[in-house]
Amino acid sequence: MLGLDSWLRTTARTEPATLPPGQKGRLVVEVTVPDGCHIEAREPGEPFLIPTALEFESVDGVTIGPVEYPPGDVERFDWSPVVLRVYRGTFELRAPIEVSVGAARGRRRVVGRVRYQGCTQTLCYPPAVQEVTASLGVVASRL
Amino acid sequence: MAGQATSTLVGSYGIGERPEDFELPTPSGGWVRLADLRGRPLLIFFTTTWCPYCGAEAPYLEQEIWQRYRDRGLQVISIQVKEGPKLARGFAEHYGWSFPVLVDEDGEVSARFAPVKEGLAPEVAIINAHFVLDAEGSVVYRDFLNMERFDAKAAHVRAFLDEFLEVT
Repeated sequence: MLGLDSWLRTTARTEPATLPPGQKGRLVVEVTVPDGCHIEAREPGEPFLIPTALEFESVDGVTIGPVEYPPGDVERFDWSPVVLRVYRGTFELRAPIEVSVGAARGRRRVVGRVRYQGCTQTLCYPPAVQEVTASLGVVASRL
Repeated sequence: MAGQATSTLVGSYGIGERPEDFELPTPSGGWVRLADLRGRPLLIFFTTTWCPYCGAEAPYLEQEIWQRYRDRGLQVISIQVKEGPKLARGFAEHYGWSFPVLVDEDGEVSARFAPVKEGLAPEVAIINAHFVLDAEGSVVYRDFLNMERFDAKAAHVRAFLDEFLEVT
């Protein structure tokens, strides 16, 4: 069935790609909404609309979050008395990461899920979830 | 009239057809059976809590439809498509709905009313649809969400009801 699952283009990365124990970086998820479409922002403006949300699975030796969301575009639709906020085009969700002091070296797979609800120019689709993954290398500390 | 304009859609119940009987729960645990509502005209509004258009229309459904036509014999029910009772109750309370809300958690009843559109799930195709049944339970009006001509105050539904309830 047609849905939003195949809509969003997402990429995820850590900056930097490798971190030694005790160091901080950030995780960036880049989301692209197709032209002419939108998804609800983190604070969409109405209580029952589905806010975009990014959550991560726990990763051994790595602390992630909290996620920082852009405010989104202010949107006044002629059919709604309420000012809504939406995401269009390409935007980034970011989260600080920190490798714990005692973390073992090696590669970590960071798995996240973007929950969202969006509309095309003609239809609105049910809430959907898209998985994103990034890779983080935990390396030896520099002396 | 929008109901006539959409009557060529495949699937769903067309003008003059009598929908199959169904029984659905309310958020508080009661049950409502379609057949029990015969005898007076009935408006059915299909909605979800997450649909922005449904939320925009919700206050007007109470004020401009239910409060306006109840004394002229109209019954109104809303069917929450693939939603649970907790969300359905919260939505109704938030928008001050005083007419019955039914919960179609698996979407099976809603799917019977949905037009068939290739590649489109019934629970999407039926969102924000209005059906008016006459006292015998036959469809006399229907429309489906058209975002290009969407009117939160449902002027097209009111135009139909003004005419229909006056002559019945």
